[in-house]
Amino acid sequence: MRPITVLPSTALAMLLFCSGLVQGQTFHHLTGGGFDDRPSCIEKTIDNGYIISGDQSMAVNT
Amino acid sequence: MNANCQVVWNRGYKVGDVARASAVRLANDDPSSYVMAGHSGNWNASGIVATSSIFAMKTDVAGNQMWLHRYGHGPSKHYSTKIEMKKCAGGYILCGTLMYGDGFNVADKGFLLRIDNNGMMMWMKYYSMGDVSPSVTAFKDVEALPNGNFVVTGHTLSPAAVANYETETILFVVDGTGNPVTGRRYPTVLVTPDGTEYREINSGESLRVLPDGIAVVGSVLQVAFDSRGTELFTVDNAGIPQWYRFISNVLPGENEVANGTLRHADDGTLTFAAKDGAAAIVQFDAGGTYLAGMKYGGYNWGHTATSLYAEDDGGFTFVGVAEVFPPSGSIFINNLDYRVGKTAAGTLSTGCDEVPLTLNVTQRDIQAQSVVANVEIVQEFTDDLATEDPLNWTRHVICQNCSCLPAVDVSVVVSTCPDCPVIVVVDWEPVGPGVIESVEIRRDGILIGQVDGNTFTDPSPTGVHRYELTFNPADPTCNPDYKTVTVDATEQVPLSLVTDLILVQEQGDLTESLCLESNLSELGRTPKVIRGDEQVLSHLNGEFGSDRPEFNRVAWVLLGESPHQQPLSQISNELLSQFLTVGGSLYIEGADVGSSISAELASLSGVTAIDPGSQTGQVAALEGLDSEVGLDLSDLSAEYGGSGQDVDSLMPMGNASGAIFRNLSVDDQITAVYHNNFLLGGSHRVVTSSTLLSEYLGDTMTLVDRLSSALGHLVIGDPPPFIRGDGNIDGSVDIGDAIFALNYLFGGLESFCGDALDTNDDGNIDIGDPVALLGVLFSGAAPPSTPFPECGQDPTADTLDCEFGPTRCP
Repeated sequence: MRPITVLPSTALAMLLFCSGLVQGQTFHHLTGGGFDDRPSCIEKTIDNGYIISGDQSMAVNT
Repeated sequence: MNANCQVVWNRGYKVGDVARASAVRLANDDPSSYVMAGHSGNWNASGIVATSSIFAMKTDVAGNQMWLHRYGHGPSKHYSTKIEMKKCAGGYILCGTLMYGDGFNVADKGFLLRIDNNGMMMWMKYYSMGDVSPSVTAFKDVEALPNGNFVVTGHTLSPAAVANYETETILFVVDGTGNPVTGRRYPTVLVTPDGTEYREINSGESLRVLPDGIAVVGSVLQVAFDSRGTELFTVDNAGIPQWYRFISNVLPGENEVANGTLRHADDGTLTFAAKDGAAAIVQFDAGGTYLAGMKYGGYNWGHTATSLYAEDDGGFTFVGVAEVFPPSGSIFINNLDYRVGKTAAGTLSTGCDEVPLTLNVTQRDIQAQSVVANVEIVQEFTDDLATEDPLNWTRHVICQNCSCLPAVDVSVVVSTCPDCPVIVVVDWEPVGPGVIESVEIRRDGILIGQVDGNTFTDPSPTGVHRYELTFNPADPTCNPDYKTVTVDATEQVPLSLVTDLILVQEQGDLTESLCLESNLSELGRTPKVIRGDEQVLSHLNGEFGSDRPEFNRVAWVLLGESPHQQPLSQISNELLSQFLTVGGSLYIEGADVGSSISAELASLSGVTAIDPGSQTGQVAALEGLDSEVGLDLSDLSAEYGGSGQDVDSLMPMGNASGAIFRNLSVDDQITAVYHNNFLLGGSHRVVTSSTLLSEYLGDTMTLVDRLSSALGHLVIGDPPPFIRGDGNIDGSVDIGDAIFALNYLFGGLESFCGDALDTNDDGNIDIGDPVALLGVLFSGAAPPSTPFPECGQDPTADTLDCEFGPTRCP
């Protein structure tokens, strides 16, 4: 069932992901919560992890 | 995945009533902290966003707020969800769109916002472009130019638009304070096979500043066919298009908060996050040729990649939007999550749930047209504080390969001492988390050991070798990880016993000399590899080969293949020219050899480069030829393994030169020439080649034998002629010879003809010789004994000699 009403209440989220990665590692993950979580930007951190910005939207399912 | 490959923290921040972050960067002044930007808004009593602003927030390494500011807020203001922020000198530059319209982009304005490292507003301006009304302008991405200006992409309304959504991609440059410098728009037109033209709707989504221009990726709507796609193009520094590609269906990072989707690598490749009914990554080379594409996850209209990070190893780490279907009671509900993937080095592959893309790419010609902008200054600025909401997220692993290796430092020590064997000690040390359990060691491709520790000793390494270390070779969960090192463990043979010097450029690849060195050794000669001007200076002198009278000395100069070739330095050119004039032989190779040697050395080499440095395509095979001046390679035709790009065409010069190799792929392209100066009464021989010995795929041993026989065979004849007093052997006796003699005696200069220096013919070289010469030149003293002033043999027996054969006698 798709959410048909999206409440205008969103929070921005920031996520620090996988610090300490070393060369040669690969991965493919999904991560998020019960709301719609949309990533916008990824940067590499100084400890070889990643910082990701995005947002989380609350939705009402009808 | 190692123990650290987990989500370290995630935190939700609320700015006002509604907020979206669309960019995050490592802080300029402290890269362990972060700066995030986006837009926020506040509701009115009806739950409608009544006022909107741009925000930037800095946190420490753990996500704790350090400062938060809002900019450009006001009643009825409504900003786009796509806000970009890039680092620049002393702060950050942000861009986005002030949306006055309600879905049709009516009277939208782009904005630029410059803040310092503390988030303080330096300036903020709105920009509306074009001379049409309403003026629709949107900014999507911005980046600093090397001169301190900023360049923006986005879109503006087409002057020919019949509807207010018919837009064109723009590139707009402002100075460091936001004043417009130039503006260009790039309209595109679809021409159908019957010649009908349809204007397209475009918007630049992301840009990158290149060394010689700008690259843009944008979205395209072919409204006449309701078909969507991507544009990728480059312009030069004047904004003139260099190439343009239309890619049907695939869209660039299509998400309203997607940011920074285009990446540029040092090798010129352009890579962008994209959407093809799935998160996707698409890669083109510097010239606009499609290289590779991959999409991740199954089809869903909401799936897209939004941003990617280009790794140093040629892989990428990306994020995107994924529609998931978690169970809720007895039903499944839709829910968007983050898709996060990291690809293997040099690839677009995460290893699972992915499909390569086959794209339809069309080349087009486009033209830039000027556009001007009206500017408004914005002053609203305030401090703020975010509230935090907890985020209860879960993680679903699709695949991972994380039991791999840490970064490793490899060091090599070559141990030599008189009268003891050379040994090579290779050590390695992890410099990151992870464990090295075992290592295989190969020398020149042959397995010579496997150890569990962190050191290996090779007891018999004489020569130049390439060591390859394979870490944890038996770990099936780990991509093979290699380190290679090239080691010169040549035994310290006295220079007087060396017959061949193999010169590799300072930054050149020593492995190119391996085969040649081995072949010469098997032929009974004594080669030595040297690199750099300093070693050329210390080796190319009278001591070189002086105790091997049975061989003529040969210098083998390996300049490399395009694009890694390095030109010969001025000092090496001069030393090699001098070496030839005293009877040495030279082999010199390099794709751009014609432009790499001096005019004097080229003249002595009997060769002309017809087409220096131009690209002549591939060299698939070489045809051996008979030079007819003493070197016959007509039975040595073979395939060629190098790229063959930028290979010079060479032409024999004069009667003493002849071609020995021809490129079979290009008519009449000579790639190697043999010059036998003995036929002209001289004393040297040279092979000049624009193709490489290391890439010759025939019988290399026979080829080297043939070359060394032609170059290294000692020609026995009469004692070398000279002019007494002509110490610098330039064919005349003058003040330069007296200076040369003094430098020889007191300045350490090498001499190739002691007989010529012995002006007073007493069998010794001492101060009496330059004094005698000065007397001859300026005091009317009696002339030196024979041979003088003509060339000739020394009639008196002594221990002096001319070491390299005939000199430059007139």
